[in-house]
Amino acid sequence: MSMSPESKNLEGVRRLLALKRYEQPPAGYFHGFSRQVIVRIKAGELGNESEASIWSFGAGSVFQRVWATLDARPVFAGAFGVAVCGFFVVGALLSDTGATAADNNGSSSPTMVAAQPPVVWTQGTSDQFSSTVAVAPPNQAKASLFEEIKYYQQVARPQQVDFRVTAP
Amino acid sequence: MPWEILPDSPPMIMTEPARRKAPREEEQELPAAAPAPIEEMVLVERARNGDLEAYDELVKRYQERIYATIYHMTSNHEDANDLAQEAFIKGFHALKSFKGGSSFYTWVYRIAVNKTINFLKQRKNKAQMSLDDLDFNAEHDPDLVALISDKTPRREVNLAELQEKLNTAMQKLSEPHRLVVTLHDVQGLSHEEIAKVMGCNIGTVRSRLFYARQQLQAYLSDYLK
Repeated sequence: MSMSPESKNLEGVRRLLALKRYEQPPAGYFHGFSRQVIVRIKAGELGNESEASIWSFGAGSVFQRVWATLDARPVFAGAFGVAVCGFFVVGALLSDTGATAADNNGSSSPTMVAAQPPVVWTQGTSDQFSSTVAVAPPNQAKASLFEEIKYYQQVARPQQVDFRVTAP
Repeated sequence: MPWEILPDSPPMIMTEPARRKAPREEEQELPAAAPAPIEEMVLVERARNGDLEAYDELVKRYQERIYATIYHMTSNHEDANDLAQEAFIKGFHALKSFKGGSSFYTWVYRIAVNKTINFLKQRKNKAQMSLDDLDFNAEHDPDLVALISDKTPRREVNLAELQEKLNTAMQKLSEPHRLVVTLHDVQGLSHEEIAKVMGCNIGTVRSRLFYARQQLQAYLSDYLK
């Protein structure tokens, strides 16, 4: 009894699949295989034992795992690069605005000084002192710098001064 | 050759034809059969207690078959290398949960198969083949010679082409179908063993095998005329 064409073809498939048995890894590949497995097991055990060195550069460290992830997934690597660039750009922008704000508050810029109204500190008659002399006013020695500041806040009053020169 | 009987190895590593005729160690793992060889159980027990030399011996025994199964599933040497190593590493760490109901080989085989199927699900969209070289004995296989002799006189080129077509066709199969074909037609496992590894019944294995062969027949029709 002869085989049907279909079963003949299925037998052909089975014989064809036998070709895959001849596919072999590079010569000597299996010589080092078990050693690599054991090394990785040992490395993993070391990683588990030393939790303190989790951020170290050793095998199984966070750094290595992150690096392996970036290496395996180019999308992650790209996203990581964009995130780092974004971090620097935002940092630069923030530092720039911070400097501007400091300039505004510190009135170091001549133009800003001109734009602000001058302030004159007025005190009682016995409390005359120069603002450039870091000395406590006479008869008003305070126990601490905080008390001194508090005193000035209570006594000193800013007053608008008009510097415009009127025409004769 | 990985399927040859090695002089200093247990009778588990055999040539494929020999494995078809002689009783296999996996057949002894079936519920009514005898337990795994005592030497293996001793090695497993020692490895369970942290003896890496014992585990090294176990890895050496099964590395070729585990690697081959994963390789035929992935058609990629580098992936097969990584997955085979990871399967053995996971096996070592999971030894505490190994009850000895089946042989260590079947147990670690199941780990490797599950790892491979999970990997293939993730890899789905970027399948890239990295094929192992053909053993020089392929040129002398009468079945293969018969298949290619009337195609071209340049046998080597044709064998390589056939290898690529075959792997491409294999990659077109779903993972369960590819696994059944790999385990049965390439690795030479019995239906019962495959059912144990895959955790399904024998009827499912048979139907999957039939369907997978039909699919391959369609994909490889040029070589089957």
